[in-house]
Amino acid sequence: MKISEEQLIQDRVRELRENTDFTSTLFESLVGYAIIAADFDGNIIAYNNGARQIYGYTPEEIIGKQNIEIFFTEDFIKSGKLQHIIVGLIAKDQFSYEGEKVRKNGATFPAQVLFTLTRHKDGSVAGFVEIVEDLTQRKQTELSLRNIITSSIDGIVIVDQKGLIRFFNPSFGSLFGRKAEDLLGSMFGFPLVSGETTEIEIVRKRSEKTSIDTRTVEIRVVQINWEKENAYLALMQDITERKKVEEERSKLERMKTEFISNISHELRTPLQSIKGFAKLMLQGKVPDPETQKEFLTIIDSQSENLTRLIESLLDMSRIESCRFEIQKARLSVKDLIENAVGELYSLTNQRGIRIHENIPATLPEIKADGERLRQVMVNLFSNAIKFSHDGGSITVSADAKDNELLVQVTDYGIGISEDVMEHLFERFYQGNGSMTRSAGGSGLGLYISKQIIEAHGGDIWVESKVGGGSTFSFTLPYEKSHSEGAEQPRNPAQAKLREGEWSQGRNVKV
Amino acid sequence: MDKKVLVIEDDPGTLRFVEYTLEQEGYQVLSVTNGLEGLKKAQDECPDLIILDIMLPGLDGYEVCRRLRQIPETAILPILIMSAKARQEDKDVGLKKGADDYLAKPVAPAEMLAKVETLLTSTAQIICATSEQ
Repeated sequence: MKISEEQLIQDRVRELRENTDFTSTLFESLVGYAIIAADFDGNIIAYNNGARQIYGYTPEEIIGKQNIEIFFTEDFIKSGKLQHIIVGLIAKDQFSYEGEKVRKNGATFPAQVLFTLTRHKDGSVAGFVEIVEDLTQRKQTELSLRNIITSSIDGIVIVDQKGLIRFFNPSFGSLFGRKAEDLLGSMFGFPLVSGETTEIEIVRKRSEKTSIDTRTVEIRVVQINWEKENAYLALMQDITERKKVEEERSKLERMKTEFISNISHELRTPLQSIKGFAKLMLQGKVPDPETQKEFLTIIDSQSENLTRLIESLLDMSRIESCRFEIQKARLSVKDLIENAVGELYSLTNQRGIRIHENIPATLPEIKADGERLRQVMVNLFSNAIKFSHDGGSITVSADAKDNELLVQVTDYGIGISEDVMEHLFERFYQGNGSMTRSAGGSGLGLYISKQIIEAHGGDIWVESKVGGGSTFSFTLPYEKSHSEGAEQPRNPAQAKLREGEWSQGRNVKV
Repeated sequence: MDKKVLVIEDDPGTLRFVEYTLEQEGYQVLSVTNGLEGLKKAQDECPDLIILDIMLPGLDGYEVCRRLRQIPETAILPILIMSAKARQEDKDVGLKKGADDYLAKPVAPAEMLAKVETLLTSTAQIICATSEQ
């Protein structure tokens, strides 16, 4: 018996020691938490390592002392919340809240606080324990996440199973151009399938204006848990601009393909005459000297066509690679125009077309690239002839106004429709319809002319009416004598004025 | 009797070449420079074969071809397209619209004559419907 009694006592002591060890280990190892125990009078009786880390007091500074500040800030007491805690504690033995606490150094920190009442065996209050979690780190993480979400360029929205909007970020709001209070809890309105990427069009109404604006939006959807429910998280990216660029690029691609096909056609047509007649003659199938001469003349003129076409292609390639240069020299505009008219004599003569010149003899000389300007004049005249009726007429006029030279070529032919006019000076562009295609041309003439005129600091534009003919105009700045050789800056205001002065009816400024 | 060939071609150089080459070989050549006239001539003149360009003012060659195939008198008339449109897609469209053969320019005289002869021989039995009336 004795032995067993002793044994029992020893076991009990070991048990107690183990228990105490366990409790104190637990107490000290909860480093993320401050655990402070106090007796009924508020004297601190226990204070763990976590508390030391969070509050900054040493146990020596605090144990056995009253320290109301460690439990409640001054503001907290003043706000009357203390009363609330005491009532809660007495009723339920526990009370928790989230609020601000103060460290020894006076700095405040966000905290999750749990008060628990301790009682004697007889049920009377022995004291209380406070457990505090420092939320600084978590709050910072939350803030960073919130920052990421609110500053995201992509719209972020959470839609519940019923299709109602439960959360969204500012970018989402601005995608729809609507206010938060209008959106939260309203129907999202687009079907969402998890894991899918879809494209939608959002028609946005601007409250101030009546104008509507359509945005293309790409939506990527994932399933998430939102407030313990299944929901959809949708990321919405405004791809309107990207789409526009893509469309522009594919349009250019299409135009390029068409251009190459057109160029191939334009190269093969003169080649047919050259190859055909050359073979016939080589095979001795053309014995008559007069016919030989006729065929050689065709070969010769078609070779010229080919040469011109190849020169245009080279010009375009130079423009594309920014190696397009002009060399200026003094020249007479009257001579320039008259030479160009002379060059096209056989063409106009053949179709009975007359060219009227309206160029004052007093027109001052201009400093420009004569060869390039000749190219522009020939191009404008060729177009005018091409689209004139047989026996029709063309007018060319030149005049000096202010510091500019204005040259205009007018035909009274088939005219140009508005949709064609818009694109007339674009590279690769050829007016649609077989009429213009069969009339030939590389689709480069006006594009190159525009580059030439602009390289001189001038403007080129067209005015036209279907069935009523067309007027192509260009300006070249006269350089002032003191700034000889220098390029005159282009003044947009001046350009506007010019447009107003000389353009009537529909016109396209390029 | 000389075989009659209708040439529908708007490029003057090419037209002159085709006319001369065919005439040298004893063909009777009729020529027009646009699609609409071509359709009319094909019905009025009962040619034995048509040489057709694609890029024509007004109706293009494809459309001319399609319409010729719908008109009873010209439904089985041999059509040889001769065009500067040289891509495979262009040829495919031409043949689909009912052409018997397709030559991409530039074409040598011997090449053209060989095609014309082949087409005429293979359809030698076919007589223009209107000539029988």
